[in-house]
Parts: sequence; C-alpha cells; structure tokens
Amino acid sequence: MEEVLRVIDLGRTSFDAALRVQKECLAEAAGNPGLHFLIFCSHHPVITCGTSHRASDILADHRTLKAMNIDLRYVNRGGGVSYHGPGQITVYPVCNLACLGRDISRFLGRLEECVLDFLESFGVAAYRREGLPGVWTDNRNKICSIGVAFSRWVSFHGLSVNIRSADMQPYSLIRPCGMDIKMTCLEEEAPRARELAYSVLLEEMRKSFLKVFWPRGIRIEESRR
Amino acid sequence: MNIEVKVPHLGAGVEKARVTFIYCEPGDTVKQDADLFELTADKAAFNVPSPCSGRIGEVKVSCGDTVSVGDVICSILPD
Repeated sequence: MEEVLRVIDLGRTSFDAALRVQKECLAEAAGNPGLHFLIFCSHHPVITCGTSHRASDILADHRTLKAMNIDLRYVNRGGGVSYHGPGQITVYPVCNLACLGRDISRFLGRLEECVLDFLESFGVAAYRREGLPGVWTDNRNKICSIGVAFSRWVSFHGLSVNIRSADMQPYSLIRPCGMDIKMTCLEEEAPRARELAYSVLLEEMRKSFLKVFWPRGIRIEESRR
Repeated sequence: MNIEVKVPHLGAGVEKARVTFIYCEPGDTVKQDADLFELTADKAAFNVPSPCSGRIGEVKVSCGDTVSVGDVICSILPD
C-alpha cells in the first residue's frame, strides 16, 4: 500500500480551529490506512487541560486569564496542563497507526525523537526523561510538551516546542504537566534561532518528521484548509 | 452471543491504563469503530473502538478505574 502524507500549514490559528481540522483529517485517515497528515501551526494564547490535569495546576483565576486574553480549554489528550502561544511551533500528526505500528509508546517515542533531531540541527543537546514524556534540556528545563490521543488507532493532538523567549511569561500561570519545572525555549538554548523566520524553523521540523517517521520516503501532498 | 470488549494491547511496556471517559451506557446502540471508552496511559489518551455494531450490554468499569491489557470492559450484543 502506498502511503501518503498531507502537509498542512495553518499558520497562526485558534486552538478550536486547529482541533476542527484535526478531526476532519482524523475522519479521512481512519478510513484510509495509508493516509497521514502533519498539521503545523502556532496558536493564539490558550491553556489546555488534558485528561490527567488537576485544577490546582492552573495558578491564575478565570478573570486573570480573560484579562490576559488567554483562553482555557479542556481536551481529551493525554497529559496535564499546558500552554500554547504564538511563540511556539505546534505539530499535530494525524497518523494512521495501522501502517506505523499499533504501539502508542513507540509513537510517543518517535515524537520525542523528531524534536531531539530538530533541536540538534540548532546545536541544542536535549534528551528524554524516563517516565516523563516530552523533551528536556536538563533535569528542570523542559522545551517541548507532548500530549496525544488516538481514535480508531489514528493519532491526534501532538506536541509544542517553545521557540521565542518573548512568549514564555504565561507559563508562570500554570504548573506545566503538573510539575514544578521551568520551561525553556529554543532562543534561550540557541540564540542564533532569533534570526530565523518561522518558515525556516518549520522546514527543519518537517525534515525531522520525515527522517524519523518515514526514513524510506513517502509521497507528500501539500494541502490547504 | 455477546462479544466481550477487552483492553487492547497498547504498546510495548504499556500494561495498565486509567479509564478517563466512558462514551457509552448499557442499552446504547453503537456502530462498529465508535469510541466506547477513553483510556489514558503515559501522555496518550486512547479511545477504545467498538469491534462491531450492536447494543451495549454490561459496562464493567467506571471512570477513574485502572485497567490492564486484556481486562474485559464491556459486552456488546452484535446486530
């Protein structure tokens, strides 16, 4: 069976709009085992609460969030509380695991590998921590959050990598993933990233996904939504 | 004859999961592949699909329960 990867760049968009696109893609992929989607975007500020979140992990009240124009969403991905904002690259891989192996821990591991490869291209040494999904630059500093869901063995939700240092302040409003940790970003770890446009960073991320998930190549179609 | 819906093999090293949402109730009519249960393991939420179209019989788990691979979580009377 020939596999096809449709790549979608939503640019800056709301969390709700991106979730709608993911669900459309999921419906298509569920009926076609060889079809996958990679959705790239960055979000207007939003705090999302996954299936393992605790209310106490949000440190600001609703009024404060509203005053800061930060939305709050409860979502059915794994993981705790996370922040999404314009200074990140967010990737939603809608992949049919019928072709990639029906193994959710392997899939999570591959997502981490993509981010490690992406960071390595900027000279950033990052690593995984056993039992703590995501990508870390040391024991306290996390640079990428991961939280996924599967329906009919098709993945949705995904990962966010912090890029811009100017967009890190909202993390002070939450306990990311229910932990007392510091979130770091690519610009802090590799200052030369400040000079790079979003499109360049996106291209690097795309290369990393292709290298990790489809090392033998895959037919790519650019898709618009 | 009822079909038992079991916690599927979710991947290497994933032996247990937590029931985080139940989409169905006894007596509900469901279609094949419809989401029945949401299980959470590591940082992944996995929706258990219905193996057939039919009517939900007994639901054997509650939200918050921890289940293991192979555990029966509900039964379905197929169409």
